[in-house]
Amino acid sequence: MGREGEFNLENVEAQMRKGVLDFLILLIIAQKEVYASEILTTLKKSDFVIVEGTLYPLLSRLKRAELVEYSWKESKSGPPRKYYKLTVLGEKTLTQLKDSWASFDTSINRLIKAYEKSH
Amino acid sequence: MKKVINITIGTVVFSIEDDAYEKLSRYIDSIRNHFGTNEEGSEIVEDIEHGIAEKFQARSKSDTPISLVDVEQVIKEMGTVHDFKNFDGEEEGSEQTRNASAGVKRLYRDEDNGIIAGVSAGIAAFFGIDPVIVRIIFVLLVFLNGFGILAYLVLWLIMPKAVTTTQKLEMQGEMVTLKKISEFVEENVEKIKKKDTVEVEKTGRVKATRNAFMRFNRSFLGGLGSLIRILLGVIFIGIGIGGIVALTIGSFGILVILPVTSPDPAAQIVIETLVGGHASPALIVAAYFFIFIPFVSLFLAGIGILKRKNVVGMPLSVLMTVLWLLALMILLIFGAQNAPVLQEKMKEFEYKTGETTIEEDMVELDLLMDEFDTQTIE
Repeated sequence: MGREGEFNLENVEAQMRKGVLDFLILLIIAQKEVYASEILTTLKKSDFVIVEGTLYPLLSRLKRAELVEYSWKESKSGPPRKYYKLTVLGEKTLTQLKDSWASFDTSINRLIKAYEKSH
Repeated sequence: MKKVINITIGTVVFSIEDDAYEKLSRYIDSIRNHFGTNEEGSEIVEDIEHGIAEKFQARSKSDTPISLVDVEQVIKEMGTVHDFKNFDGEEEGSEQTRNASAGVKRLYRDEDNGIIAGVSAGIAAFFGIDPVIVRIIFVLLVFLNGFGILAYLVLWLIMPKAVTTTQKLEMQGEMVTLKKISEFVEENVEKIKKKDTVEVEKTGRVKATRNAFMRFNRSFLGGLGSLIRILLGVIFIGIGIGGIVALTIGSFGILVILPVTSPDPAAQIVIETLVGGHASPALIVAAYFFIFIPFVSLFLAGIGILKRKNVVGMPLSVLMTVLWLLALMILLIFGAQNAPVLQEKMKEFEYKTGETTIEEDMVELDLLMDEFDTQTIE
């Protein structure tokens, strides 16, 4: 396992993905009420592959932080599903996350451009 | 022919084949263990069960019973506890190390995994290394005048045996929590269960091959274990007897033959001091015991390993240990007393033959260097 002070490309990339995962999930839930499998499908489309089992603890954490809430809905086939949607606090958090992402994006891009110019 | 069981997952009833059920229930147990049984954990497990139910429902051949392949497919999509831990990565890792350091680690004898009394296995658990390494160190220490055996016997005396589950967890440095205890017990129950299935023949190809594999494994490992045991026993006995015989011949030689025949005057002086000194009988007896006891205990340990039973009773091993320590003390005391005499005689001898010691050479060299230094300064 990658410890501090030890550089490992895979590890850094995994950390990057992990860092934005909550943000992504909030973004997906913000669009419309969704259940776990739909979130997973959307994540897969955006190249964020995680095993389904890791999604449930994340959702549970967001719920405990009162950023999302769910309601049970019957499905045509199979067991009833938990449909998630953002709470008011969740909306506020998402706005904040969007802002910090934007400034993050700006400063990273500025650095990348400066680097490209120098080459 | 396969047995089919009806189960309910996430409020839906499914038919599932016997072996698939076993796999699935073990998987869900492992997940339950991972997330815990508190409110949050059980909700996650429930979510996962719902997810599994959904996947079973969406199978292409949803009218046939769920097979082992289906279960394996679902587990692959859902991810194992190992995947969850990997995903949690650093967080989980640091938490574990914190837990480990918070948990008290104690030194116990691990008889479950031990060969003789579990001393090596216990030490290995304490340092988190392979018991084989500790065993090799002990065997190597045996060649240091049998110190390995003495050390083993002393450790056997002072290290308590891990009996309760709490002690066994402490031995591994695990935090003793209720969850850990139940995990540990479950793990062992699982082991016993697996053993039972070997005994009971059941239908089903998968099970049969698995049983055959395990039976092969057990007899093979068992055979290897007893081979190592016999080999170790024979080596111990061999070294023990060899040592005793060599010691007897050797001491006879030193005391009787050598003084008469040895051409080396230096050896003569050593022998004269030892034999001719006022404390010589006690010294010789002590020296004899000092070397003799480790070989005897090695010999007895060898027999014990072969017979799979400890042939040396506690009183005898204590007696031998005490005698050995006594001999060591006598040697140290008389050795210290006799050392100046011996040194004196050796010096006389060297003076006579014109030899100088390295120290004297060094002093001379220093003097020369000093002279050289002062000359260059001038």
